[in-house]
Amino acid sequence: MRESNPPNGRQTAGKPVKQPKKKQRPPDAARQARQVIQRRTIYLLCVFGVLTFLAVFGKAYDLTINQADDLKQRASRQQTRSTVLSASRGTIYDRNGTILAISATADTVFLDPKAINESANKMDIDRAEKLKEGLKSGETVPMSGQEYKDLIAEKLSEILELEKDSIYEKMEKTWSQYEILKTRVDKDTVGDQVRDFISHNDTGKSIRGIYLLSDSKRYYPYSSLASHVIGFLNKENHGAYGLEAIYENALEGTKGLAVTAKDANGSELMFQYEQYYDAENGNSLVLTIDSNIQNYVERGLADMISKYGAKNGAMGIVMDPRNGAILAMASNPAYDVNNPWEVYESRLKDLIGQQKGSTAGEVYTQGDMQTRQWRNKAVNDTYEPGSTYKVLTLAMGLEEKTIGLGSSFYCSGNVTIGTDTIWCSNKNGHRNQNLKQAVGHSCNPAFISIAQSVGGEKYWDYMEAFGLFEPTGIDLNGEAAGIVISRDKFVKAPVSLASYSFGQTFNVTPIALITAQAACINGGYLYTPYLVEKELDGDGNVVRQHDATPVRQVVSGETSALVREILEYVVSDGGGANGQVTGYRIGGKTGTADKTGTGNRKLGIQGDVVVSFMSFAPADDPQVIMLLTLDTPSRNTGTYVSGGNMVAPTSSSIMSDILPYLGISPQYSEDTKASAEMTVPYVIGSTEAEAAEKLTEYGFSAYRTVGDGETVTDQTPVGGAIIPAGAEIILYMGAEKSTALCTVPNVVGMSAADANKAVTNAGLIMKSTGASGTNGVKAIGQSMEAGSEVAAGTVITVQMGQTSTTAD
Amino acid sequence: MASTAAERRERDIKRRRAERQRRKQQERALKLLNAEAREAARGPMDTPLLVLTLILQTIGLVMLLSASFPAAQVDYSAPFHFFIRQGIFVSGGIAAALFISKINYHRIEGLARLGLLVSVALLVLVLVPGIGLTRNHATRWLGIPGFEAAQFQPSEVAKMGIIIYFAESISKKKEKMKTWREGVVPYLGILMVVVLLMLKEPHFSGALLILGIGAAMMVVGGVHWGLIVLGVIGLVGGGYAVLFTDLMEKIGYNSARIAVWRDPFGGGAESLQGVAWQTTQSLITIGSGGLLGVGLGKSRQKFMYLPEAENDFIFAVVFEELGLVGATLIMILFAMLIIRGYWIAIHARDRFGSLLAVGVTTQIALQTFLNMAVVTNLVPNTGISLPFFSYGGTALLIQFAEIGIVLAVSRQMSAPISS
Repeated sequence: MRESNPPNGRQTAGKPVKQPKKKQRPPDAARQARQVIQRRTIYLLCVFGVLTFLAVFGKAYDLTINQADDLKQRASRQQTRSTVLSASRGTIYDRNGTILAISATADTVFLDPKAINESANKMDIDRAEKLKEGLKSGETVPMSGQEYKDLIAEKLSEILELEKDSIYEKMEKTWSQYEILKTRVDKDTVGDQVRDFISHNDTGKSIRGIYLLSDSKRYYPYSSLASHVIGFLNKENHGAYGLEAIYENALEGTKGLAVTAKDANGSELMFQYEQYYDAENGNSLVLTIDSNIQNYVERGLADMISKYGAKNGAMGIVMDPRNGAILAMASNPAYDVNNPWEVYESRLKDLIGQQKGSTAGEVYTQGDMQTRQWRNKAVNDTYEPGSTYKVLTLAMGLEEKTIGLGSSFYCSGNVTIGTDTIWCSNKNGHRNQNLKQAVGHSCNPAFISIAQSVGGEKYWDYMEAFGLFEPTGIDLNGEAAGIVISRDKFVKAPVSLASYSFGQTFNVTPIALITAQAACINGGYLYTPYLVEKELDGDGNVVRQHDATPVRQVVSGETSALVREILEYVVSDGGGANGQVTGYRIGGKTGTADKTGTGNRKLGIQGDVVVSFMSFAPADDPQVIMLLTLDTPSRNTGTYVSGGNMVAPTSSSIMSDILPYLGISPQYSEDTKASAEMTVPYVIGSTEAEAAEKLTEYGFSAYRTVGDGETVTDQTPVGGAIIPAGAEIILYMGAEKSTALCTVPNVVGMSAADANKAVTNAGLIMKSTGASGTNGVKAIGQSMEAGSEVAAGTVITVQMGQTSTTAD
Repeated sequence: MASTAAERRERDIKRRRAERQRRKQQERALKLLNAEAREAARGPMDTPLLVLTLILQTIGLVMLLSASFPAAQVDYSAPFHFFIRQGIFVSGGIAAALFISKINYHRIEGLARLGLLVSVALLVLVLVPGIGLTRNHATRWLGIPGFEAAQFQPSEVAKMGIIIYFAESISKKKEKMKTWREGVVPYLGILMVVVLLMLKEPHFSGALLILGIGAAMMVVGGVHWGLIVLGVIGLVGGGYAVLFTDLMEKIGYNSARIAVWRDPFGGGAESLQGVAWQTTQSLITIGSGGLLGVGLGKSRQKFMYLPEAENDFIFAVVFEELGLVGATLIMILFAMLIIRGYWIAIHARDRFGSLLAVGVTTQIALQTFLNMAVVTNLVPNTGISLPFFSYGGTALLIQFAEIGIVLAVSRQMSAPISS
């Protein structure tokens, strides 16, 4: 290839031709210069061919190996958009499937100021270009960036009801891509308006930089109903209180995540880079609560409070004694679950700003009232139970067989234990009494002797077995445990045994008490009270079903049967008469508990009390047990402060709603037959004889005629009406039916017979309920206010009860 | 002292004859020279250099397609926009290189002065208001407005002009290069003029490159070694003062680029919009690749995150897609190309050829290094393209022309002594 070149070309090829005449001159200078070039080129080669690349490699190694994790993290942070796929929170149903809490989708509206700013800048550039080119005919000046921002601010402030300035402020954060404008707006109204604005607006294009994020909002259709049981969510949509809190994990579900790659402009990338983690909707809860029963109880509590006042509120629990299911749990004051931070009851609102306690200057705040209205008195608070607790002492004695139906007790009015004298509510003494009478009298000395017969140690063990020292384990947060002295102290102190026997000097929660009471009447089984019957998954499959296995049997079935019999006697013939419900067999026990330390007998200061009533029905086969308490009622209402006088009538009224609702049919004896409710037959067009026969057939005995026609032309009440069988039916024989309204008479304080006469005379029909018998039983309430005008034949329910002092 | 007409005539005739003879001799010499030169220029071109160039260019085109299609899609709605144009220039460039390689490079020796003058004239012309074309706040282009294919940067021409002129001039000076007056002053003067003109555009990176090339050629050409030591000390000291001290701040020059270089992620989210954006995105891109890369074509950073992904920062995309391993292989290819360029310089037939090869190779080497150093944040961001990879028509054509010159030099290399 190279033979054309001379072999020593390097030396001679340099300049031999250019200066042919100077051949003889040694080319030292040229050779030297060439050598310099060669040598120095090798230096350059080393620097630029090796060193520089080593330097770059070193730096690159650092970046790709040492710093890779950090840089990759930065990359994925800017390249990916993760969208949280929210899981729908489970629904809360009552036992009949009525929705108590439900989540609906809502939209959170947010801005991407960076994108908006970029669009605005681009519009300015386009506009400038357009103006430079000149407008064609029919073309308008394009929108400027500022006009674009104005449009967004204007429109969003209108739709979202926000200040325009706040929107401008957020739009100015042009480095940000996520600025929340408004959280949880209604999807179908506000959300859709925003969506519409994004796609249809004056720019002619869809707006980039306004986004909506699906979220959910919790709705409680019955606002304050069962508020303490259901609870509420905090601002982050997590359960803060009640079942919403304790079942947070089940209800919440699992959020999903969608990770997508985006370019720097926020558009999805052309190639597939997506990862989905599906959202899993929360489970729904089916409660044991029956919203109707809950409603009866809440109404009853409100009614009691309006009548008697209750400085510290009231509480009611309805339980199925056969398994511990809570049918209703109400605490008053209540609150609106939809807006839990607002003070709901006006009597609490009025307290805000008033002096708190004895310290001057300290006043009640909104926060105090919030805490007060959120408190579930049935579970969070303990109280001295008083006489309703005697049921337990009774059961212990019967179980230990230290007492029986044949036992007799003597009450002198007080008992001396060591140095202490304990008084009976009847200071004159009940004298000789058998067991039923002693319980009916709620005689403290009798119960002290029962407890003594059981003995301190056994007594303590029974209390423990009844679950009074521990929280019951109901599925609510913040359940309090009973407050008692230590076993050692108890066993050594006979006075404690004495005071415990009638439910004083120790504390329990209402839920623990009713649980133990239920055990006394249900055959002896202690159940864990519970609120959630089952959990359903998104498809309605049962994920979890409550297991209603009793914790233990505390007393025998025989003992339990005896307790039922005795407690039925308390209502039918003893101090609990006001708890009677006509047509039903009710068992019950009244209670008026002194709050230890609040009064002083010697100084004549009457202490605070908690009045209460426990009742169950049917007495021979209890399907429902209810405990109502009223904390610190007013002493100035004219009604004697006791459970029997204040709480039992309400209990009766609530029970008279619950029992038929639960499908338990009333059974009427000869005495109560007139109260049995019958359907009035349709008799218009028939003769008087025919009508009378039909009425008898339907159970009505009394009727009178108006007019002297041959056939019945009209009747009061109309056919189909349900009225007590004892009511008088008016048959119009050709005479015009009076359309005049009848005035409701005031019957409170009358005997049953007088009240009936007064009501009937007024052209109305009386239905009596509550205590029966004649001994001191008087009307203590009526369903319609005296003086109101109603149509003839309207049924008025009159609550009968003992107004005399009922000893608890 | 009279002389006869006959004497005068005879002298005249003698002189004319001598003149004719001399002319004839000269013509013969020239013919011989040309023939020899043609003969010399007919040697084989250096295959390794050509093959390395073609390999690098092929990889460069593939990477350009990968790096540029998102930007092409967004800006032109045509994913192959940059790729097709680059491809055309590459074909033209290869043709130009092969053509130039056939030329006897001594023919351009005579064009050196003219080339320098034209270069300076163009550099002046681009600064004349209304003639130079401005892009991104820099007036660096001449040509038909709105038609990028028909535009070029005078600074690219100036690089060529400087290389050829320096090679021509230095090759004649030999030991005189050691003197201050002959070896330093004229070249520094020329460099100053060119650099000042380029800074006026402004074209900092171009000026830096020309300074580097000029300095390298002077060093190789034989300036006094004391001067080299002085220059190295000055370079290191100046570089240190600018980069590692607050000298710039003290003289009231607030250089965001240096601040970003020192701590690229230190500016917080807001400043990432500005100067730091390029650097931080480049680092993120490189880091994303790790050792083995995310795979050819799979860069995510090129989707509008990395600015100039098809241009100055294309090597970051190489890192992301091919990883440290792939990028290192490409760096080795570049190093081999550069070493081969210098090898040709060492083996060139004459000093002019050597200096031409040194100039061209140094230009490719410096540009490659500076680009990679900027991309990896080894040096502050100056905005410099990567030979054979970055998108750009004139630059590509000139690079191939330069490779053509080195190939032409290689054709006249003498055969190795062993053969």
